Amino acid sequence: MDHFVYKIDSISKSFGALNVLKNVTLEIQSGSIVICIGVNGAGKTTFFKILCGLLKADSGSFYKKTAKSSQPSSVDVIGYCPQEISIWPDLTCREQMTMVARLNGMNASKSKEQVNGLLNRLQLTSKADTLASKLSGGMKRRLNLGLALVHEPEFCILDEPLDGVDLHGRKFIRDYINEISSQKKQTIIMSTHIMEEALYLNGIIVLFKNGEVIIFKSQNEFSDRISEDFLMEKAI
Amino acid sequence: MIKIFCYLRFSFLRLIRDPLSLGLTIFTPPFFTLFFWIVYNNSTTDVSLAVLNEDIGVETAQKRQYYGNQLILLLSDTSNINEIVNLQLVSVESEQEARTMIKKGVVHGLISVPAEFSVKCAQKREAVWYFTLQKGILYYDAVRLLLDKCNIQFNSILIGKKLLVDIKSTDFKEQTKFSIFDSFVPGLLTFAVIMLVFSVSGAVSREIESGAFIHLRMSSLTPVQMISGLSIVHFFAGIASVFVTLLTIKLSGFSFEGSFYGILILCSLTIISAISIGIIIASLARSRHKTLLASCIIMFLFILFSGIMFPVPDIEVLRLGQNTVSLFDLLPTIHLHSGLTAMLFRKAEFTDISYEYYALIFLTILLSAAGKYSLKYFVYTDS
Repeated sequence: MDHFVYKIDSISKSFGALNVLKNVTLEIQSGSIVICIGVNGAGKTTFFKILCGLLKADSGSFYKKTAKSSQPSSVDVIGYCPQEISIWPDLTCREQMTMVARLNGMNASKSKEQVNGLLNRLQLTSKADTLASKLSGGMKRRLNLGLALVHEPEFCILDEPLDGVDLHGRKFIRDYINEISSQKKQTIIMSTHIMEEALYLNGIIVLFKNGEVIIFKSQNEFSDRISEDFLMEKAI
Repeated sequence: MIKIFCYLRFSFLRLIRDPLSLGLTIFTPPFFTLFFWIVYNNSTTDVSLAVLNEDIGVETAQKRQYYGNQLILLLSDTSNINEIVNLQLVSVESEQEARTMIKKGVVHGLISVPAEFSVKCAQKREAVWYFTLQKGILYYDAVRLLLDKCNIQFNSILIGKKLLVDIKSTDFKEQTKFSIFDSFVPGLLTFAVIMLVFSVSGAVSREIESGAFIHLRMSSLTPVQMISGLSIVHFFAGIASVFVTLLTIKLSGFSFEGSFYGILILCSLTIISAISIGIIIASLARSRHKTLLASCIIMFLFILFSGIMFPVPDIEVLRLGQNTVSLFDLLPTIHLHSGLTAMLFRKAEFTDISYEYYALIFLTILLSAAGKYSLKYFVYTDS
């Protein structure tokens, strides 16, 4: 996979008088992990929806550039794991993952291989041919994540993927996120409410506060600021 | 094309995994057909007609003959021709009086015998009597058929004289018996098509409400591809419903005289319109609860203003050549019902119901485009 720089350039969005995002600017290297944190209503989901193209920004743009060319290009293959469980209750895990893979242009043999691999990785193999409506809450969460990743998108947006998942489940999802970022060079931008998750994942941390973002280049910087009660009292 | 077939395959799986909805879509119209057959197959109805007999009679060698009176006498007792429709004849003095009675709903039409009727009969010239029937009344075709048969019988009484009514008697299929159930047949087929609005709007709103639609939006599946995949699946469900309804109608003793392919084309066009309406409803309503309410409103609109059960008010909007476009011509079901009625009872050919065909083609294109845009702007884009 080529090396890209994803540029989020001055994105603003308001709903009526409420300014949810104010000139959010971010630069993300391909293959890296960005963890977004912030209180409820801080604008994380709105930001993600704008990156996905599901919502139009009032201003600003999102594009990618290669090191070789200064010409910006659009980010075409995006995987989005919404905050709410968004699955087809009347299709099996295998069927819906296959459908998403095929609709994103993957051929039949490749999609079969990818679906089997991901089902195994998300520990859903035993439930592969079970209707999604019959799965437990945690399994539905994992399937929700699987639908965002099955077509191997270059840019993955995961909105609180660990919410509602048990401790064991969280660990292997974190491991998997680290793995696809380091090995497959897929870029991950995700949100979480859990501080430990932000520290466990190997990435930069972005704090959403009053529509603006504060970027922490490393976990150490973030940890230091936590110790200063910056986050505990003023932000989180 | 691969994406359409991919989405089609999974839409099909989702459809058959909801057997209750599929069963209701396909088997509700045949169930109602059976129910209507049981209730209405042997029932009778009274239809009141005003009679304006201006025949002055004719002097013959033996006595003064009144052929007009003989015709009215024949019409007053039609039990030997038809046991289903009983004509109730009301004498009037003028056409104006008859029109007032029609307006008040006292009678449904007017039979008029001109002054020179007997003279022309005696002179073996073409004699004409007229009837005007309020269009859209229930059993319209039953009454027309009955009057036609009376005319044929009257001809046989006056051998050698050719009498004409203002309709072509050959337009009617030759049936020994026309039951009230028969007059419901076009409506029952129309109902089979209307049911699709529920199944399509339900399928789309369920997909939106489950949130899974977001994965379709994130993929490169376009609204047109999505509509194509979904429409093909529901189109065949609609065709299955029409076929099962037709089979039930056939088994109930109704004899089909019109073109089978003509019926199929009319139903197919309306099915596509119904699918588009379902997509529009789901795109605007977005939740299953609202979709159900909106679909009910649409269903009542179709049933009440398509001539299925009640006369359609004639509210003229514009004129296209010889055709008047009324407000309710905007409903595809009115053209399906009217086309089916003409085909099943009058053996109408394409040229006879070209207006219905063209209107349906136009509405199908219009509604398909509206379906595509409503899905694109209300579901594919949040703002």
